This record gives sequence, structure tokens and C-alpha cells, in this order.
Amino acid sequence: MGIFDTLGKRKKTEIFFERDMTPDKNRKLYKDIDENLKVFKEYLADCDDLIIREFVMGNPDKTKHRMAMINIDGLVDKRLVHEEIMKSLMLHARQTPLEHSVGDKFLQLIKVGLLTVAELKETDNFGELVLAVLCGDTALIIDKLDRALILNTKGWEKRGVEEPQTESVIRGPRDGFTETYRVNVALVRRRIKDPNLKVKTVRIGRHTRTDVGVLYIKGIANPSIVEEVLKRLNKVDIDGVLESGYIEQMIEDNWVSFFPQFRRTERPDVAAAALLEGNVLIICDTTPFVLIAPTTLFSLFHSSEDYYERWYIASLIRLLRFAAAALAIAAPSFYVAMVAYHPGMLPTDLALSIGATREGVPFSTTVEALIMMLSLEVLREAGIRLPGPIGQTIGIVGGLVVGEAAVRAGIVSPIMVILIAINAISSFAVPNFSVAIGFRLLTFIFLILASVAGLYGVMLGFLGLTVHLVTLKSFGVPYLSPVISFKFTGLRDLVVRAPLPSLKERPEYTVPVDKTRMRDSRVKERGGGEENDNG
Amino acid sequence: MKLRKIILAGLLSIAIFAVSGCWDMVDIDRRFFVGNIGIDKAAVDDKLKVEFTMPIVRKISGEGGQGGGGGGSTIASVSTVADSIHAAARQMSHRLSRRLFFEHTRVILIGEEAARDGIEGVVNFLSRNTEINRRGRIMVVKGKAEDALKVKNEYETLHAMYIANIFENWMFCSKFIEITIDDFMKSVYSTKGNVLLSRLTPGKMDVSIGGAAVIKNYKLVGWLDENETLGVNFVLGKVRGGDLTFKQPGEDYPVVMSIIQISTKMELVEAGTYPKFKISPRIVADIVETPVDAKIDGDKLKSLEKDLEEKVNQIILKGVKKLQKEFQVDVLGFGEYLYKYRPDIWEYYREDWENIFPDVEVVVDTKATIRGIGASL
Repeated sequence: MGIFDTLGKRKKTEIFFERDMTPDKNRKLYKDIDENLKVFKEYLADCDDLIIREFVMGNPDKTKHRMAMINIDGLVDKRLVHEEIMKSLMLHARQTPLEHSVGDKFLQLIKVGLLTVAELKETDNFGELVLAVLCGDTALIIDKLDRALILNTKGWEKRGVEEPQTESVIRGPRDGFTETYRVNVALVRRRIKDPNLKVKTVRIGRHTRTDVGVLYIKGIANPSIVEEVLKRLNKVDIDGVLESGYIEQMIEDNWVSFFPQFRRTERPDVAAAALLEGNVLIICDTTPFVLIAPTTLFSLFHSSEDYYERWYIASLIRLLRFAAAALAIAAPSFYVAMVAYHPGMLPTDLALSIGATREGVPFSTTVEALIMMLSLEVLREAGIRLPGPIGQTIGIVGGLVVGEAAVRAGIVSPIMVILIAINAISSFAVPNFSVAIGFRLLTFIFLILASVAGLYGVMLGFLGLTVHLVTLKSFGVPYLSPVISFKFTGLRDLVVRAPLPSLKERPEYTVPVDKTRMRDSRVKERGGGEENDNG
Repeated sequence: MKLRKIILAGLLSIAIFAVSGCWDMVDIDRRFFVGNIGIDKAAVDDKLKVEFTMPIVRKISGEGGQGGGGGGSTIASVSTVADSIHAAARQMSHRLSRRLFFEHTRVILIGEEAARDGIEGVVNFLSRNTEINRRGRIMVVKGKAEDALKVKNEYETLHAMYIANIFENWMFCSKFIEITIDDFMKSVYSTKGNVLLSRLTPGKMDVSIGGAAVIKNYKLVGWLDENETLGVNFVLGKVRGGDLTFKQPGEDYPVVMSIIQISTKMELVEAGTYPKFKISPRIVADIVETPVDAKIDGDKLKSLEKDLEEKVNQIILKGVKKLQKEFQVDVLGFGEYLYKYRPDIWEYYREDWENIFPDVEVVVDTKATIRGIGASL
């Protein structure tokens, strides 16, 4: 009790506690510039990256308009500050007669006539001002005024828009989200030029104060889902949000599940498609991974390319993915169940050749499978952590050592090597990595079940998995929809992808306000089509 | 609350293993895959001499690098004298390092002497054993089962596969009884031990499957030769292919016909003191071989069809007569037909069917159509 209690109490009185600095917003600016600077320095004491530049506006001989410009080194665009603020106020202002303007009039003059910065805001309290400075804006404090200006000079070193690393496609746009919130929102906005695309920003994190944006298309997205997302986001009280994964885990429905209840993407086209289907986007500053909610199991198997390619190909590839998922979950467990419990179910020749390869292997099939799967996981993990060029070698060395040498040494049977390799490759054929990694985990559980109870155990596992999936929900949407509420229209874009013109309705799971996706626009006969209005 | 439920579910599923004691885990390399089971009469007492053959997996793996490889047979064969097949399998656990495993057993061979003494032992074993592969084959060996298992075939790695795969050629000859263990078990119960089994004749380097063993009341009573078996198969509607050879008058060389399609209908024509059955096979056949100078035109085709019909009639009657007169055992399904389709009449014959069957009148009415006449006219 004692110590935690006192700690908690003490923290609550601290100055930077609230995530939107509410208490500090009640602290109004003074009229005196020295007073203001004093408070400001109090706030940002011991912050060596703070820049405070005091100067006199216009001609220093004639005027006595003292000002101070405050910003953080590295967060602002230096060129902007030099050219548009300092130069405007110090040099260009000389041509303006300023002597007699005071108070509000003076502020208006500066705002309307002098500052050539594109975006500025007025404030009367320290809370807003300090936060703005920390966000990369420039604060302009003016003597004899109890208001200050916030000038948007954000400009830090950032990565440009690059091709996404985790979701490469053969056909499709090459741009990917970046670490900058505004850029990310803009990338989506560039695709959906619609006033109904709404962006609501929430600040989350007591210390990080990360911008988290909720994007949706009004008139498509279900308002109750949007509300739910905002409600859950507003409830989050955490010291920091460094990646959208934090948000995901803080607001998901079920934290026990192996399955992600959000889709995450690095691709603006996927995000835009999701918006058009009635989903809600959660864009988090400082990460290129954007969350899509609600989600279903099947949408995690879909890739943007499914819609860009012809439907036969897309359908075939989707079928393959589902097959791969089945292999990824159950291949080792089925093998173990067959070999250790039901060899009678194998064709005789296969049973004999498996028996022959297992001849001389000292471990039981289960242990053998566990050894291989664990070493594969280690290899995978090591491959990610190691720097690029070495990561490649680890793959080769690991493959050689674990595969060839282990078989030669008689520790594992060659069939097991093949099986585990197929299993691993299959698990990464699922386009969403979070699902893939969940499957890898399930593989272990199924393996254990198979090793204690054979096929019975595997079936038990599938039963449990089904029960879990049926009960799982993402923002109130059943995880297995549209299968769970069986409707034929839902099947058109599920395991197969029907021709695009037949997908006239938005998916059911987002419960869209407007269901219609397209009108019949197919060209019936050659030359008979109406003129398209493509803008 | 939820956590408690999960823990409870977990404990309950663990309880399944603790309570039921189901722990069947035996790794594949800890099992011997028994391919054949051979059953002979033992020299002493009433016991059976049971022989199991199984592949030595290490030797057939074909991995030169593993050592071991060359030399010696890839098939191991062990035999023991016991009261029953199951007892024999149990006795083996004193002598073998691994468990005998019957799910891949393809062939069960019963020696002639053992079969004459009765096959109840085999039926008992098969009816209770849960491991035996029901798609396996069962047959009677002319001579000793041992001799058939001794044959060193060069064709397949597995002796059992060699024998079992011969049955796949059923499509081309139909001169043995195509029956799986499952079929055998079904019919042996419904007919109270009157069945036909294939006959296997061991040779020096290979075996030959052809003809049938007639089992009456669980005991072997005699054999049918290949052609008689074909006739019986016609009645049973189990012919799928095969060639028929006959000579036409005035020609030096025989005509060979290959059966393509066949359907057989059995019907009761008359129910007097003895019932009268009509068997009408409908055959579609191709001409495979003809004498060099044969000119095939409409008339010739008609006469060929007629001869073919005649030939089939003869074959069928020969087989049926042998079963009626020599063995007096209804394995042709006449009784079954009555029981299924004419229960009222069957009531009348049932009591004394064994005595009625030999005098059942059978007429055969084959209709043959020749479809393909080969490459040249």
C-alpha cells in the first residue's frame, strides 16, 4: 500500500501528467515578455535543445517591440524560420510603420501583413504553447501582449515515401506509409478526394503525446463502429505510444486470442480500399503501420493485389493461401499423428518409406518435429535480427546445417526436414504477418496435442480453434463473418474473388451505411457503353 | 470466471488421457508391418502354424550410405505354432524387438490342409481384430501357405504387395474370385460359411492366382478351375473383362474376343418343386484376333456374336453344374436372390434349400454385341 499510494499521489500533482496538458491550459500568458519567458524556461528547464531567440521587430532604433521566438532544435524547418519569420519580422517589417500600433491591432498587423508562414494559430495559455513547441512548431511571444502565436514550422529529418518493406506486390502502387502522421493522412487523402473522408485526431500517451488519427468515410462507415473506436482510444491512458501495436493491444476485444483483431498495413492503397469498404483507419504517428478495424479472419487472407489482378488468378491465389494456412497449422501435427498413432492410414509404400527414413533416428517423432521447428524459429529470429548481408548467410548456413547435416548425422529424418520446410514456407504465404506468426504458435500447440492424442488430439484442437474463432469479435463484428451469418453474396469475395463487376455490394461485416458499391457499368456490347465520367 | 472455465476445460481434457488410458503412441519405426499372414496346419495336435512376413525397412530403404544395405532378404519371415492367430502374434512378442502391426496386412493365405480342417479360426480372428486392413485379400493356397510365402519374387519389394496387386488385374481376366477381407467377412456370416475364395498356386519364382476354392460350411471341399470360376463370375455379375477364345467351324485359327462391358441379370422363371432360374448376361465385346483371311461383314458378325453367346452359355453352365452336382453348395446367390426379391417363395424352399439347390434348373440366355472389330476389316 504505502509506497505505491504516495507515489501515485505525488505523480498526480506533477506538471506534465495529463496527456493533453489540461492543467497547464489554465495557466494564462502574462503581458510582460520577461515574465512569460521565465515561465517558459521553467517548463523547459534543462532542455538543451531549446532555442529562444529574443529580438526587436522592425527597425531597432525606432521601435521597442520586443519579441521572442522559441522552438526546438531539430524539429523545425530552419529555412522556414529564417526566411519566413525572422526575415519578415526583422527586415521586411522596416517598411511598415509600426510605431503607433499596440495591442490587438498590432497582433492583427503581424498576423495579416507580416508573417509569411502558411499556418499559424493564436493562444493565450502556456499549455498549448509548450505542447506546440514540443511538436515542432515555433512559438512567438510578443511583449505587452497576453497572447502568443504558434507558427507551423514543423520540419524534421524524416524518411521519404518509400516502397513498403513488408507488403510488396507485383502489381500495385509502390508508395508506402512513413513515420510522419501528416504524410500518412495525406497519402490516404490523395486517394480519396471526398469531403466525407473525416480525420479525427486524438493525442495518446502521457509523455509521448502521440497523434493518433481516426479516419473514416462518413456515409459509408458505420457510425457506431467509429464511435466505439473513438471511445476506446479516449480511454487509453498510457505513458507512451511508440507504435500502432500499443494501440492495437490496448483497444482490442480479446487479448487472449492468437489472432490479431486488426488488420495492419503499410500500403495507402490498402488503407483506402478498407475505407471504401466501410472500415475505420487508425493512423498512429511515428509508425508506418496503419490499423484497420474491424477485421475478420478472411480479410486477413486478402491482399490488395487480389483486386488488381484478373479474378481467376486472384481466386486461385486465394485458394492457395487457404491451403497454405491449413498446412501451416496442421502439417507437423498431422504427420506426427499419422506416424506415431495411425500408420495404418498411410499408403503402405509411404508408411514403409517413412519407416525407412526414421530408421536409426534416436528421438520420437514428436521430439524430432520439435527440434526442427524450434531451430527453424531460431533461424528465422536470427535472420531478422542480423544485419542484412549477414542475415542472408545465416539462411544458407542454417539451411545447410539444420537440413543436410542433421539428416546426415541421423538426428532427424529427411522427411521431417521436408515437412518442416513446407510448413514454414506455407505459414509465410499468408499475407498478414501477424496471422502468420499466430499460426506458427498454433502449430506448436497442435503438435503437442497430436503427440499426446494422435488425430483425436488434432481434431480436438481444431474444435477448440473453431469455438474460439466463432466467439471472437472485432469491434462487435464476428471474426468469422460472413461465414457465420451465411449469405451467398458474402461468398463472392471470400475464398474466391468473383469478377469485380459482380461485387456490387460492400462487405457485410463492416455493416456499412451505404451498401451499394457500384452501379451496373459493364459495357454490354462493343461501342455500346455509355461515356464514363472518370474525371 | 473465464479463466476458471479455461482451466477447468484444460483439466478435463487432461483427464481424458488419465481416465481412458488411451495411449496408443508407438512410433512408426517401433513397428513391424506385417504384410502376409500364412496359416497352415501344424504337424502336431490341432494347432495352427502361423507365419508372418514383414519387410525389413532398413534394408529396403535403398540408402547405400547407411551401411547394412546389401545382401540378405528384405523380407523377414517368422512362424510359430499356436492355438490361434492372435495367440501366435502374442507369442511373437517374446521373439521380436518390435510390435507386430496388422494395419498394412495385405494378404492372408490359408493352406489347403488347414482350410480342409475349417477356417473358423481365421474368421474368428478377423471378426474381432481391429487392426487388420479390411481391403486386404484372403485366399486359399493349393499346398502349403508356407510354400507360397517362400517364393522369392523379383518384381516387387514387398511380397504382400506382389500378391495383392495381382488382384488388380481382375479387369483383364476375371478368372479368380475378386474378394476383399471385408467382402469375405460380410458373406461368410450371411451364408453361414459357404463362400468362394481365390486359389493361389505357388510356383518356383512366382505365384499364380486363378480358380477358386469352394468353402462349404467353413471347410474347403474342393476347387474350381479357371474357366469354371469365370462361369461362376458371370452368374455373380463379377466379370469386368477378359478374353474368350473359340474356333469357328472350318477355320484353323481361333477368334479371340475381349469383353468390354457386361451386365448380368438373374431372374426366377418358375417356382415348382425346384425353382427355375434364368441368367441373362448382356455382353459387349471387341474382336481382338481373327484368322488372317477372315472377312468381317454383317453376316460374319452375326455368326460371331452367336458363337460368342454359345461359348458364354457353355462356360456358365459348366461352372454352375459343378457347384450343383459336385459340391452341392449355393455360392451363386440363388438363395440370396429368393430371400431378397421373393421372400414368399423363399419361405417355401428355405428349410430344405441344401437339398433343393443341386436340382435347381438353370437356363442361360446370353446376348452378345460386337462393338469394335479392330484396326482392319
